[in-house]
Amino acid sequence: MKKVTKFLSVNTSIPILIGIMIIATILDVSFMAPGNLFNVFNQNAIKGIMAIGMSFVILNGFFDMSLCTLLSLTAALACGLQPKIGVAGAVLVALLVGLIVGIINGLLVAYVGINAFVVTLALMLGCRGFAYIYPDEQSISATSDAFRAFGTGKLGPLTYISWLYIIGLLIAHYVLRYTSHGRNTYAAGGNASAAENAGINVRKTIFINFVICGVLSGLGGILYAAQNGASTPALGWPDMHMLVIAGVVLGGSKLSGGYGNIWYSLIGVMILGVVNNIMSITNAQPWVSTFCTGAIMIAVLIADKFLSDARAKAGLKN
Amino acid sequence: MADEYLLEMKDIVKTFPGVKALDGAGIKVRAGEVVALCGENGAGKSTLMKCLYGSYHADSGEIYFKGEKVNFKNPDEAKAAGVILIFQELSLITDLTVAENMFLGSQPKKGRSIDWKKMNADADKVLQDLNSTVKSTDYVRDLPISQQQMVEIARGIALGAKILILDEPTSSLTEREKNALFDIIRKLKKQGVGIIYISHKMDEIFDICDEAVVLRDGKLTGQFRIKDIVLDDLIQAMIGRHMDNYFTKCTAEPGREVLRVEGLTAHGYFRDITFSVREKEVVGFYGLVGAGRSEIMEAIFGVRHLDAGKIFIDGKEVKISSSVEAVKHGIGFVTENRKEQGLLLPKSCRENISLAKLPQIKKGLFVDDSKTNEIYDKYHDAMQISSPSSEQPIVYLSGGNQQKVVIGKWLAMDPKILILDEPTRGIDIGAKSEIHNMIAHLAEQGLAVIVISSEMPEIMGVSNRIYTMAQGRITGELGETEISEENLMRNIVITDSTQKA
Repeated sequence: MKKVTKFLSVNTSIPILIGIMIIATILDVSFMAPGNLFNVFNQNAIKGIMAIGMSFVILNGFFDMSLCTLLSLTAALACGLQPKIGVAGAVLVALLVGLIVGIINGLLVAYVGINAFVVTLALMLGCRGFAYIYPDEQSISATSDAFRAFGTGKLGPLTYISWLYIIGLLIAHYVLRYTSHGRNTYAAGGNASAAENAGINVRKTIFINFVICGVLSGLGGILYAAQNGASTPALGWPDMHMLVIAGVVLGGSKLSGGYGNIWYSLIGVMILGVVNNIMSITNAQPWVSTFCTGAIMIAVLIADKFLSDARAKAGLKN
Repeated sequence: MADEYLLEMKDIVKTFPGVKALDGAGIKVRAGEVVALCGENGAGKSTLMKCLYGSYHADSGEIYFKGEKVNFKNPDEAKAAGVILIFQELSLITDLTVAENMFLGSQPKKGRSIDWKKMNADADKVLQDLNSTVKSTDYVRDLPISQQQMVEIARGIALGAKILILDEPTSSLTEREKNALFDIIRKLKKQGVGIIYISHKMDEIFDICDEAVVLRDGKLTGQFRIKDIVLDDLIQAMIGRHMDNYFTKCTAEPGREVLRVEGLTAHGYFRDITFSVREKEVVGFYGLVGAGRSEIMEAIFGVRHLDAGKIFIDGKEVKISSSVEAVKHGIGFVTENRKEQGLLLPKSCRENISLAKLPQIKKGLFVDDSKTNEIYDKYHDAMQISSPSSEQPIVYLSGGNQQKVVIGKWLAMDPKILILDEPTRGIDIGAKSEIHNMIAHLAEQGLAVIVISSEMPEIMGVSNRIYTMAQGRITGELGETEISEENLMRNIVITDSTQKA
């Protein structure tokens, strides 16, 4: 029992997720239908994949806002290049663009030393420009059948994309827990100068994390394109980066860095997903749903603040 | 002869621009012994240790470690060789576990993966050797400060420490925690680790150390066997400096009492503080860093909560619960870290100097620029600020000129009482004496001035009267004729246990 309370005191987001699911069931019993639950997971898998990348950056004490328009740019490239260089080439080029944006973010933040907010905001605007220029402000349909089939296909109750998400979570867990880079990320995010004192290359750590986030954001765009069978310049705009950051933080990772894990991002993304799902099965208007998401985020963060303050007080009494 | 010592530093000289920080300093440490490193604030203790640790590089001098001549280029090299410095401020990552902190940057691996089992086992072994109750899987954030310090020491051991440098390790510990630390130190001695123990607390030095090295003005005054000496010998060795006579003291006859406090107490910081300051008088507060001097002034200035006590200004009791009220009562406070608390660095001299006065000089919603120019002109001349123009951003001025701007800013408020906390920290010698002159001058014009300083010559040079403090209490009041290095030093090393003895 003591172990359970300790587990819950660290993972405050789990009781919150369960609470929201109970409320959802009360509002509409069909929420608990297995089909619907798988649906929630499938619908949020791409957001989850991007939240993996964002988790690395947030654990390191930064955040990346360029995600929201980077994904519409890579979606456009993945669709638009298919007739010219084939689907594999198109996907590779799109991933490469994600990589390059990640490298630019990483170089400017880690090595030039510019504030991450400003850097990633600038990259967000830059990508937004290209996301409109490249497709000439038009939507582009994906011509490859295999590409669309991957986006919508299922293995068991889960989509391919969901399986990809699960694999991503496992890899991210391994990297964060069992590699030097993972632990260095926590150390650098928790106390950069202490990490530096311990001989950790803090700049390199930051750089790598921005690159991871760039690549996974780019992948997110490609997957959206595959799922929808098309790209549109407005994809992700205006708040996808915020929802992804919110997912990571709602799960329990500290926005200031150094604390959290990859499973928190899963729980956080699912909290957002469940809220959305209730709104849609109860036929709430979309803007009501947006409002509720905001309100719930504040409630969750206040609850988390109280729980962690209580923990800090208990720590002092030792 | 040299190989009898584990570590020997000889004739170390280190010059910083304008200051000779070390001038023939040294220390010798045998394996399994604890050597105290003592001296006043600024005697060169930290500089000497940083020269050993590779953070600084000595201009000349020799360091022998395990009989070989060494010169560590950076802290990493020193660590690799087994010289571990534990800073006064802990440098742990609180959201990681004890084991992770101990092996940060050098975790044991199985293939490419971190071997958590081995890491935790290795950490537990070190912790058990130290008789610690801390477990490898505990999170550092859940540990009290004393146990965090234990983790730092354990980290040093895990790295293979041969020489462990502890910088004021007991400053944040309770009596019981201190005893636990001493047990660890005794254990390490048995394991053959050489320990350098930097402390001001005489009782601790006599309790735990085998030898004591005394530095004065960057010079080695002597290395003593603790069992051969008494407290007075050590104090004598620490002081006895030749006093420079360039200080100008306020010579006016003090007037009426302006500020009086009775029984001020803030739990955990200071207790039962009673003192008074008169106009045309400079009152010094001398004590070690952490004695509670700044905290008292913050409480008087209304930015720190008081648990008990009364404050009287001009004989009337006042309640001050914010800095705004303090300013209304005519108190000015030049804080010790001007860059964080006193200045808007990118803003101009003019804007900074008129900052505190803004509420009085605004025209409607806006600031009246002509008034700020008037203020600037007046205090620029009075304070002899050398700045190319009134619009020069303050960040480009020297430390001395920045400090003059801060003082000018408070003078623009016409205070009755001016509190200066470490007024010349980080300021070159020339500007220092200008500020000292200014302090005397301000007092002669009728101000009641309180100066906090950790520098003995400064506090002796500017004060008409000095209160000494140790561990949150006033331990003595020295009138003009009683001010001497010996009295000051004796009063500030008094601790509860030495008093009983």
